Amino acid sequence: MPTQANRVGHVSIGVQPEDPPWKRLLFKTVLQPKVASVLVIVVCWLIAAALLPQDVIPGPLDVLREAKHIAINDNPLQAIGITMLRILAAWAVAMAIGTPVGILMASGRVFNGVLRDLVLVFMALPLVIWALLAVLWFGGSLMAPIVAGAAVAFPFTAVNVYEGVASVDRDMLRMARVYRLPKLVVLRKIMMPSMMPFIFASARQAFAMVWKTIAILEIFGASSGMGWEIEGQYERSSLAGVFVWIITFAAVMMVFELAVFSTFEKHTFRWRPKIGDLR
Amino acid sequence: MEADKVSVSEEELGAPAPVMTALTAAPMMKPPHESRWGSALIHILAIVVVLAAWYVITLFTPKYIFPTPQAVWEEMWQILSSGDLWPQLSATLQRTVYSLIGAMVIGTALGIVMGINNYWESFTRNWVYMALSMPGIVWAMLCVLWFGINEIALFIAVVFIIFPYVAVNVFEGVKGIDRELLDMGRSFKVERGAMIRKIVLPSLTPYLVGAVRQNFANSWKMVTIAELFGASMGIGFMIRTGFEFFDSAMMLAWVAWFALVIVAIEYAIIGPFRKYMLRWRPEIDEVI
Repeated sequence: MPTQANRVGHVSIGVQPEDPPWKRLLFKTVLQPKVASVLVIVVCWLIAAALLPQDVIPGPLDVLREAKHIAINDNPLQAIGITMLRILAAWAVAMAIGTPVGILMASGRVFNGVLRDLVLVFMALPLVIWALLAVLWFGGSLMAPIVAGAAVAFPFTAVNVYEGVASVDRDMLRMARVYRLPKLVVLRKIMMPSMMPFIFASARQAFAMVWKTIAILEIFGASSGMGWEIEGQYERSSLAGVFVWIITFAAVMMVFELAVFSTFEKHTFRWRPKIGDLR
Repeated sequence: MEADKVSVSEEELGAPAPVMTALTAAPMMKPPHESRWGSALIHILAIVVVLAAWYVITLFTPKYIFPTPQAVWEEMWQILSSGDLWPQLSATLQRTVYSLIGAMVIGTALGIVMGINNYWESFTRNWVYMALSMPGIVWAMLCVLWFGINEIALFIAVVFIIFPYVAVNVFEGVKGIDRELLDMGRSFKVERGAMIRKIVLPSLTPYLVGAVRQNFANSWKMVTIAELFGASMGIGFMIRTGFEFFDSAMMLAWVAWFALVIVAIEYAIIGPFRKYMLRWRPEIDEVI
């Protein structure tokens, strides 16, 4: 753990070399923090499910049974696909609007003033209002999630991109001017590398904002997708069903995060030294 | 030291960006030199541009779908003059403040534990990030199913949504504590309670104030979401009512009032509070 250096107290739980082998084995397996955290949660869940009636806390088995039921009778892949389509469309539009707004903000006093106010107003509004207004305006069409998601997420993209442009080394730009580098080279070799971390941050943040918006939008105003499924189970007061869909939603989002963003990031920042190299 | 810096950024790859609000984003985007008159003119220009764009859009869309600026303004005036504003406002504000306090207490405790102990850090880390990525509305629904439609359900839902943000903030703060001070404390055999009171908490103050600043705006938005389901008073309930009557002017008018009040509170109370708490620290532009 690289955080070792920053430790504050002497309170960490660990195994000492003089401990008996059974204790060392225990610490190496189930007491590993990540394993233990899962175990603790599962045990708490089992206890709560045993003590409370099934319609308050469904047990893991109830949830599995419900998941099987849903997998057979409903069409979960279709719901996942529709939600992902909405999220990706809204996210693409948010990035497509936010990026030029951020660049424009960084490129002039008047643009900065006007767009800054606009971005701040959009940021001050809660995302609920966009989800619900978009449903009123566009009903069940694909325009509703696009407009709601883009309205919620583009200010965050714009601020991040603005920060990125502002972080470009001015001396490098001056040098490029002195040596008369072509504009495209300046963009690719000077601007982009220092903007990349900010663009990634903005993509990630926009993605998270969009999926939270789409969840609300689907719960209130769609007739398909994972949010709508959650709402259906909620109306039936079927907690097992709500659990199944919530877990599915969280799992899909996490997989997407890990598979897409982390991979891209690793690829883009492969020139950066790893921690181990510097030690 | 060098290795430390790199490792922190490496670790943060998986971490969510901090919550941005209008208040915390505004100084980021401000160009360094701006004359007062010039900026006032630009603000006016911004308002004119936005209103004009809004008005032009209403010309091409039916009124009941897309309200004109006047319609929203009249609705806002009507809400104020009918005396409806204050009860709803105070309901939502109370919930916001209580849940923020609850989330600050739990989040600070968790953040400190995560920061000072590696075992608990890796124990909780993934769960905190998972909690951060859950849409707030899901918590609201679960709490309504569990506790029914009442204040407790709302409180628990919003505390659950907000406290991971606070925990991450405080965690970063604990990591940033000056190690030399701690080493000194340790070599003088200061006991753990005194270390936390005299070293940890004072160095955490900027992060705690930052957490309040970011999460005040965040928690009123989350209260609004929770109120869609679990309340019969408050801004979220009024937005829901407007939604059910297809009255977009009413929805926008309520949101506008609340956004105004929240921004006013941010500038009038939280900004000065931050200044007061951090009065010992010179501002960056004073130093440079």
